[in-house]
Amino acid sequence: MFVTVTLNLLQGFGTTCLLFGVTLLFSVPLGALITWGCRARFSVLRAALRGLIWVIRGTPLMLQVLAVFYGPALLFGWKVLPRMLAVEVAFVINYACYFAEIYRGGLDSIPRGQYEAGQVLGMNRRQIFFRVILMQFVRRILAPMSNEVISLVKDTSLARVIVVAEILKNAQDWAAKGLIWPLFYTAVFYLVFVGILTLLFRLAEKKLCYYKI
Amino acid sequence: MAYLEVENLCKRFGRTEVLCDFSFCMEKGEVVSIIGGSGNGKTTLLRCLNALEVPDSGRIVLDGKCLFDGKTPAAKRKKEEGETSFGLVFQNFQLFPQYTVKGNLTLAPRLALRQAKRRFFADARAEGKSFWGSMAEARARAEQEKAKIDGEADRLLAQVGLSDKADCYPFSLSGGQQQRAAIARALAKRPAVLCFDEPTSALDPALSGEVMRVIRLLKADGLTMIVVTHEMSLAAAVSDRVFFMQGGRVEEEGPPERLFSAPASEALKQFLSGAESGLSSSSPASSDQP
Repeated sequence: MFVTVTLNLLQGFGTTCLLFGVTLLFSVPLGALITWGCRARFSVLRAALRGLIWVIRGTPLMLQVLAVFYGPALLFGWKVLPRMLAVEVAFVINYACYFAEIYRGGLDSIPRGQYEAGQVLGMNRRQIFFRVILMQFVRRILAPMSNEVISLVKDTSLARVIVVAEILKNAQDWAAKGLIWPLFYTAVFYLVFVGILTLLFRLAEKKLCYYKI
Repeated sequence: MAYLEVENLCKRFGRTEVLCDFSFCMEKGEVVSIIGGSGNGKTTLLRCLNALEVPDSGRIVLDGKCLFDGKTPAAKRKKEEGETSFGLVFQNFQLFPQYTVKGNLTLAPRLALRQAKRRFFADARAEGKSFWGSMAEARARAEQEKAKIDGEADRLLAQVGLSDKADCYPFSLSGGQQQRAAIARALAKRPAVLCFDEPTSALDPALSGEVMRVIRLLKADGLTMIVVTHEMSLAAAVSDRVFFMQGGRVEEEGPPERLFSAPASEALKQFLSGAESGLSSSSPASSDQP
């Protein structure tokens, strides 16, 4: 029994990991793009992105998943997206917005003098960003990013609202059949995953903290 | 014709006129101090010279070459000047924390070299060398230049007395050492005029003494310098001429001996007495002296 349940949960955990990986892969650069757009000279773009961040941060992720899955069909009568894809889209947009805010905070926390020091030394804007700012920026956002990334691991469980078979969905199915313990057993999977991530972030922090700010 | 001529420089932020019709000249090798209360445009002047701000109008002429004539955009100015006009040392150093002291010195020259490499390649091509031959020559020349940059950095670090700190990160240095490193970094660009924006105001007296010694050393080497400062002792120790700035223009100027002992204008008298009373109240030992 234990082996059957474990194998079944592992299968669900695979989906969880896939969801986690894909979301991270796309939301990190998309967040950077949003941050960049928020600093653009074009004020309409700035306002639109502010609005987007407001909506995304102001509504539950579960609702956003439902909206992406059912919305197009209800509004325009389009064919529904594949379930997994719908979840991915909702997650990527949601996390990109949170990441964008973290990036903005990180950029704002770097003293203007660092840019100016680069400028008076004759570096151009690209050189200043990549050679002077980026390393300090990454270091400053590492702690808040680790927070968000760890949240993401657990948020993947929201995918079950549109019946994506991730680990918690599988456990719930067992519970529906009268077997309760697999539900609590899933905690082990989450804890191991988050444990590994915590170690990785600590390692990254150690690598980057060879200097103090 | 003077080495550096600044004519009728104006700069306003919103409604506040920070520099109004500011003019001054200085000769090559001269050291000029600019004193004055906060908010009188001293820092803005340095920022305008260093193209961190664009003045609203006026002219900046260095060594007969017009750098700014009232309408040159800042980006264009940077490109045309290359790396030989002004250098700036900041009040709070602004070293790059992720690079070693030597890394701070060599970063900008090395980045400039990367761009020069393309030029080397084009030169070699123009001489009729083959593609791969030109490539090899460009690389060889870049290696040579890199060695030169390294040697220059070592020399500058020795000059400011930081040879043993070359491989340390800025956070492990004292304030005085950080400021000396920042001076060396500014010098690596070989500026014609080196500007200091209150170089000692973040330092205690002992540490600012270190920095003052370095500035005097550079003066002995014949470097042209503009020092904005709140410390009268620094102004008196290093400068050939002192400018007192008030309300965005030069209120009074002259050699430090005369300016400090016999100020002519009422504003300067007031400023100096304020500075003195501030000094005596902060250090009771000196209040006994007249």
